[in-house]
Amino acid sequence: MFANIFVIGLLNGCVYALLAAGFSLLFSVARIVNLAYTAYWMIAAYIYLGMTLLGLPSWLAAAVSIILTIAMSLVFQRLLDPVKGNPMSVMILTLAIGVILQKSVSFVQDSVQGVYFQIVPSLIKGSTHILGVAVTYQYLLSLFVVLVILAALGMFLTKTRFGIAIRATSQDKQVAGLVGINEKAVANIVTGIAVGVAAIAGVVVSPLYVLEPWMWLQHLLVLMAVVIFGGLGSLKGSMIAAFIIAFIEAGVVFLLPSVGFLRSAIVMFIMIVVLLVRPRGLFGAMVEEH
Amino acid sequence: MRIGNITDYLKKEIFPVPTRVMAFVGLAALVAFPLIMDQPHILRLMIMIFIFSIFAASWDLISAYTGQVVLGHALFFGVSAYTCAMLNTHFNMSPVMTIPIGAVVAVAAGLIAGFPALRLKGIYLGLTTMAMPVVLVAVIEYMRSYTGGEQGIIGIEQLATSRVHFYYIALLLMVVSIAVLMKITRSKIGLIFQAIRDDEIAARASGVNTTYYKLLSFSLSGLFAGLAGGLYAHFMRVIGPSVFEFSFSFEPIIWTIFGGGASIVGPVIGVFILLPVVEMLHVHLGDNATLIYYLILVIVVVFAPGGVLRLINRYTEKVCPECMTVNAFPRRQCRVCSAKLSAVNGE
Amino acid sequence: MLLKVENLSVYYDRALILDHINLQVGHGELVGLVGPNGAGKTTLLRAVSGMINVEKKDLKFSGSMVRTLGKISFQGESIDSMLSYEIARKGLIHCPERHRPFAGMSVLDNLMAGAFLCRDKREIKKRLDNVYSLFPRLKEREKQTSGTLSGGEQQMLAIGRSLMLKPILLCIDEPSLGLAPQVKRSVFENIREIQKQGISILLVEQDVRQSFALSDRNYILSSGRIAAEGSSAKLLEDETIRTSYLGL
Repeated sequence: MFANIFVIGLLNGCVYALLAAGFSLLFSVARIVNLAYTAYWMIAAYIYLGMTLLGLPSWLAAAVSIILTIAMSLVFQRLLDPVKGNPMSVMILTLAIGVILQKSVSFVQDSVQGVYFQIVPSLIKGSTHILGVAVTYQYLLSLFVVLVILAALGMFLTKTRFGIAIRATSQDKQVAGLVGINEKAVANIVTGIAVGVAAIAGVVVSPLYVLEPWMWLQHLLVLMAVVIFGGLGSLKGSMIAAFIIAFIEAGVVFLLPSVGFLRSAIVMFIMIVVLLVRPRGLFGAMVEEH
Repeated sequence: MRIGNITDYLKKEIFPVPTRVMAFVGLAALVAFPLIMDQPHILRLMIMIFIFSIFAASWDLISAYTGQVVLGHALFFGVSAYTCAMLNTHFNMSPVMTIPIGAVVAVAAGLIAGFPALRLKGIYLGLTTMAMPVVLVAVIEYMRSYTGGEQGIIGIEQLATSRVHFYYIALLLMVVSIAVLMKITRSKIGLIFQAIRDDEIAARASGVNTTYYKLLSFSLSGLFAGLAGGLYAHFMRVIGPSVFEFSFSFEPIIWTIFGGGASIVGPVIGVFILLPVVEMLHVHLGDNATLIYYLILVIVVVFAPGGVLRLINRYTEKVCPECMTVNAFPRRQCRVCSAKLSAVNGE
Repeated sequence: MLLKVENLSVYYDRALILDHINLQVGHGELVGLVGPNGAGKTTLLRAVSGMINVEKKDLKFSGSMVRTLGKISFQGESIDSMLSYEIARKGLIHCPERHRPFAGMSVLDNLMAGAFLCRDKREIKKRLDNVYSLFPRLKEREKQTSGTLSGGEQQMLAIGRSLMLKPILLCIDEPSLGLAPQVKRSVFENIREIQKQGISILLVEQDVRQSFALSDRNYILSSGRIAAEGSSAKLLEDETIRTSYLGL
């Protein structure tokens, strides 16, 4: 029982943490709430699936999927330029982009007959036992990849020249311009990185889930909860919140199976309470607007 | 004398401004509409348009005017719809009673939702309000003996016996609601709402009791959303947890952005254009309708960032720089103060 | 001439903030720009460093309008339509008002952000050593989060960050704002040293006495116009200027 909670909670926590890191990064630099973010995760999984069905080897399919997804996000990014000053319009546009991606997948799915489109093939096969719970190698691989990406992302942001520029831009766009940082270029790079991270997660983690085109919305809600819970713009906060929420979810599902369907609601309820006590989340960065 | 006043008003305030003429003609057309068109599915669509116009305008008030980001507006709509449905089916209360009670319950929901707004801002408030319907759906599914759970509530009484009858009730309520909302937004209260949106600290520093006005905005918004929800329940005669869905909260935002925010009329225009479009797309395209609908939405938002209303205004009106009176586009001189009007709008 | 501003006017919507400004800074000069609150000093710097051009784009969405007229050139090259990051790359560096450190980052990371344009590790080290020798306090606080520094230290950091770009012309906006008299004095001392390193400086100040003591030449800005210009001694001689603009 507890081993189950641990195994599921750990994986979901890692995935949430990764997505939250990307989402946070995107928000802190571009200052937009990109509701399409989890849709990129979904589309990457589907492109990967499609490519393998076309007969590409899985590593190539993975690469194609990640590159295509990033390219797509950069194109969509352009659409947001005319409405940048109005956060609500941006939000609606990104939501629309997410829905368009979802519906496009459904469209393709419906027009290609005779293919079962929900189970993504694993990159590696086989399983083992940990703490008495059956664990597939794909699960271990996913965990490993997610942790590596998180570590790499952390290193990139703190140690490299570009990482520092990204953090500077997220802190104060105008002053970043004064030290010669091209904010627009940074925004594009950050979009690429953030969506790339989501795409990798989509490719590596999706074999563990049953895939549905609409699932991005469900994940979006959890993701928003994680990011806000942890405090927008705080990577550390998102990480901690990701694991808290993942373990609460897993706990509810395994310990109170009769109310398992309430798990999102319980997470939301806890989040509302936390926000009322701490209006900027657990580690809310003091985001100053100039 | 009375008649004289009205014709005078028409001559001075309606006819000189093209958009007001359009609104006037449109309203007359709506009143006459059932006389020439009695196809039930068209009337049904029109009634939906009236109901959702109220719903959309109520979001405009709280978010676009007062700046309180509400991403869970379905909460107010749904709470009222469920209240009406439960009172009607469990206690046999007549719609004339349930709809006002539903609206009052929605006001209470507005106050509860407004409570976090006293501490939270922007996206933090947005997510909190977005989470509220999710929590409520869980409650509804948990208490399924009263709420019907996932199946929802069926057999709700119709508000009116005939569809044409309902049409006129809905039209009247919409016109009154929109008029009241416009009156509010153009009054001192509306000014304070906008002050809170633009700079809350400055508003407080100038002696505005922002707590009071924020809660007022939430309850007013809840009131009208609740009215729409009650009408919806008594028109559809069946409701389920879907009224609390994500998409139901985002629809009023879409209508408002499409039509043009912070104008009350904008969201109404949005509903009047988008609802028939959706209906048509569904008839012709079936499952792919949503895809096309969102594509259209993206294109319009990208090319007309200020919404359709701004676009219309830009090509039909000029605002006098001296006295802020609205003038028809071809005029060179303000019709009230005779100040010179520039050739291009906004310069 | 290093910096040449000709007939610069700036409008915010209908309000005229700067009215036909003419201003020049020569090589190696320290030019003071003084004037009361709201005279338009900061706006002038923002126009010179391209910040206004960035703001223009952002403001367009909210319906407000910023318009600039006139010419600005730096080292003979026209820069009046450039964005701030492009101008910074030319060597014209604006050190903003109220320090504005990247508050969540450490002192060292702030300085490294300043060195963003430089890829040469050895050169970065050289510049860093130079900043640390000017401001030993920053070295002590290297690992500290910059938002927790004192006002004086934040000002040192802001200047240090600008120096990491190796400026040709450094425009400093109100470095003494909100600082204790003693700290103020040391900041002005540092500015003099920076000039000695061969960097031209445009110093915007409200503290006329300190600024005049430092500068080679001055401009007095009042209600968006240049009211007077000249050396400190010459300006101080003039009774009307002294009483009506300088309050001395």
